[in-house]
Amino acid sequence: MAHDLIPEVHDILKLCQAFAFEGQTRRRSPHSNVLSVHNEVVSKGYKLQSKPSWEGVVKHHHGKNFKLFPDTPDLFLLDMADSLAAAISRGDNRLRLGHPQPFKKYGFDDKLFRLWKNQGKDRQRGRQYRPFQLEKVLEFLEKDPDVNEFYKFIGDSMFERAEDATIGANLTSLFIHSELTGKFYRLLKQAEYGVNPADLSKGRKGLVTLYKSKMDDWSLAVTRFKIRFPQKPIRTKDMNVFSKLSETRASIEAQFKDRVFFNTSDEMLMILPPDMSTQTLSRFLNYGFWIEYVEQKQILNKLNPKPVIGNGDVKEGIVAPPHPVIINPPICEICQMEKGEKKWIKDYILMMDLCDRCKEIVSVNAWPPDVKELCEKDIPGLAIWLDERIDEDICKHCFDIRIENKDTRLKKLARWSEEKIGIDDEDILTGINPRVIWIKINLDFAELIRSLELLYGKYLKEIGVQNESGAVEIRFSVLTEYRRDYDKFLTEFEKALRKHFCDDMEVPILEDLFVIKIAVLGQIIGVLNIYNDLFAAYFPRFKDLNSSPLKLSISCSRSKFPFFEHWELLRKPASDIHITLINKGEVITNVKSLDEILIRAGHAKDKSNIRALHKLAEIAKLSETLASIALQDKSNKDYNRYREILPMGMGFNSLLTLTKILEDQNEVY
Amino acid sequence: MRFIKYQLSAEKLCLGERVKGGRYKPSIKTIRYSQIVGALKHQFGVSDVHAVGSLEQFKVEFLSYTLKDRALDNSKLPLRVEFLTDVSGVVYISEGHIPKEKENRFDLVMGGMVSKGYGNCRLTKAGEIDMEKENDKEGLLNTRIPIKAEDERELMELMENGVPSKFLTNIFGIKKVLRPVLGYLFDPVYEHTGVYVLSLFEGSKIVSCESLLINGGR
Repeated sequence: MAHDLIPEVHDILKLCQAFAFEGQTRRRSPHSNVLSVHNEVVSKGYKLQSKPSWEGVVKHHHGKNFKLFPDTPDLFLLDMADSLAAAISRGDNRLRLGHPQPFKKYGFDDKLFRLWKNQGKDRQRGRQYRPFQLEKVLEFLEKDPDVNEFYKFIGDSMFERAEDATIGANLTSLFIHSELTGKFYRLLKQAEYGVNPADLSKGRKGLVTLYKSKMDDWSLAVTRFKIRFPQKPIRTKDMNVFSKLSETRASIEAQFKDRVFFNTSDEMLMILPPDMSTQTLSRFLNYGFWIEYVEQKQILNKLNPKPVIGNGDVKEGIVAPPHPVIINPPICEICQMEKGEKKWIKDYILMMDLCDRCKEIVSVNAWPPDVKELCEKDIPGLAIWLDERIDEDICKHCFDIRIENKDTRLKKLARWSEEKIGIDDEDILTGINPRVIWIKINLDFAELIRSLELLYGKYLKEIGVQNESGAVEIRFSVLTEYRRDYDKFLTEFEKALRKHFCDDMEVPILEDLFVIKIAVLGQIIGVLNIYNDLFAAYFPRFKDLNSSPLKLSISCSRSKFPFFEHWELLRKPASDIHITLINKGEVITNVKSLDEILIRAGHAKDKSNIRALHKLAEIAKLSETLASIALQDKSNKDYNRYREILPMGMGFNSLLTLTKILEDQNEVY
Repeated sequence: MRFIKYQLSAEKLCLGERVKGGRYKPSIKTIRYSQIVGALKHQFGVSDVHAVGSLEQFKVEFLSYTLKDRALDNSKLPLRVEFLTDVSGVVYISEGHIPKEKENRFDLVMGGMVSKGYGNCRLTKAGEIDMEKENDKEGLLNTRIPIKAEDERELMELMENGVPSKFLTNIFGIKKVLRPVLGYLFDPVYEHTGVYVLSLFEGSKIVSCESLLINGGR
């Protein structure tokens, strides 16, 4: 029995070399000449005729150049899904890139053009990437492959091949396009959209009319949301909340694989059938988590990742668990959203395997109990808790999060929190712990779309598109393509940090959240170097913009400093680069300035320059105003040194904090 | 409702949240309803007063100290407290609750660590507004206000359709709650007891007069 239609396969002919069809003098592209391919199949006796996926390959267009058209409701949906998954709108062919025949005017380049990476000089008119021979593809399709066999067959060949090779439209790889076509196809089916088979037999004109009317009639709900949590982690074990966050995200993705179109560690873009709303995600929310969303029901013709004005009501809101109007004390000290009905640590101890007498002693006395009263059998298990002096009222959710694993996943962080490395006169309470830096990469979704629009506008201008602003539109496929690179960037970033900091790096807390132990503040420059190198490799074009959608937050303190204070700083960076030294200042700058900062940081390693920086930092301790004057005083003998070491283009306070970072170094970086 | 607008200045303020884990006490960076109303009630003995505020400028500093258990004559675990210095902000107080002779300028004690000299604020009259009649804008709430829903239905209306409770509308002129950020504020019932009431926290997306919005909703 033949497999059902596998939509991902539909564009496989785009990977085929030009072919000399019978009776034709020139070799032609199989994808643009599906009727010839069909004739070849018939004449050579390939066993493909009744296979739905093959039908999908040759009948998924309604453009007049294609001589075979969708003739079943499934193929009609495939045609539509193909269009929705395209890099640029196929709504009205005459308006594509502002020209009736953009392919002829701008030429083609099979290689994918990444807006965030490539420049005009990377374009190569006429470049082809079509690795397969038609015969091999037809033989493969005869086996009626499933989707996994299909991906195995094509290998890496779809990653760099643009879905639409027209220069100016080559923004999405064939891989992402195929994946999204599959998602849209299944989504349309789940929404129970369909047409009457009889309506597909009225010739091409009838098909086009039907297609246009359905694109204006059918709709889907586009929702973008953030998963938020109320917990403010106090202890290392409370950091389990991030595992719960990842689990929540993973369960939504697993349940709605075909509906998730973009995601980061806490944000998702989903497309839902019109009868489903974001509220239906409430069943995935535990532990007091809630969702903040923006949702819009859009007609297919205007389906867009960002809310479109004039395309239906934009609805904002939250999906949250029910909250009581009043809570009687005590309130949970971690989330402050529920009654603190559990006592830490007594309720945890009572869960242990203790004898009845010891349970009774723990239960009726304040913690810790008198050791002499406990039985010998139970003392070893309780020993590690006997120094505990803090009582906490916490709710059931936060209690469950805290006791999730017997041993914390973040073993190094737990160790650093207890480690004593000496006494710091500045702070007798927390100064004795080692310093840590928390690192978070944030991706601002709205700014990502704005940035890609700007870069696309530049690209179109470069190739000579008139009135390019009218042609600029960032669709789902381009975003998904970006996410693929973003994921690779995060993986590389983590790998590079681990190589640089080795054992001083904890396991990742999220794919974009890390914690590292440092000996001196100067090691922050090492992080900036890694970030800058990878940024240049993956997203160099974002440096052409006034601000980048990708933002780096670093927050540094002694290891005992409460994480939840870091978290507020980490998740809301004030600029592209935001470094906070708790209680010491912050550096706020843009990613454009990073090259200059790092070059000058290199100069700062010179010992006489370090002396000058030290002097400036000492002056600032007495008076920041005086330090500001010293920095700008041309008669100051260190004036030229400061010019050499300290980059311009940032506020004085940022310069001062950078001074503290550069001054506190040894030969680590 | 009509409010008098005051410019607030203070040298040192400790607007502490509840102690987390017993060791660290952060300061919030706004003037919540419960804090300012509590301070006004204590200072002037007024009831039915409504007030909110927000901070414009401040520096963050930390203090580490140890509480002493007088009964046992020993020190408890050390506490690290976040506080704000060189503070300036704005406070709105419902009309008719400040004694006439002090209406233009008065001093108020607010927040924690009062015995250590923190919390002395000076409030100087800077105008009058009617929050209901001001022009509405969409933006992010800059303070914390209790919702005071009269029943479950009113709360559900807020959560599902963004319809503010009567309290939020009638007192503060809030027209719509587009995306709430929820939390609880302490509401004293007697001198040493109270309950936590569901409230809108800073960052909630609302439609209201610009006085309640971060950067005036711009």
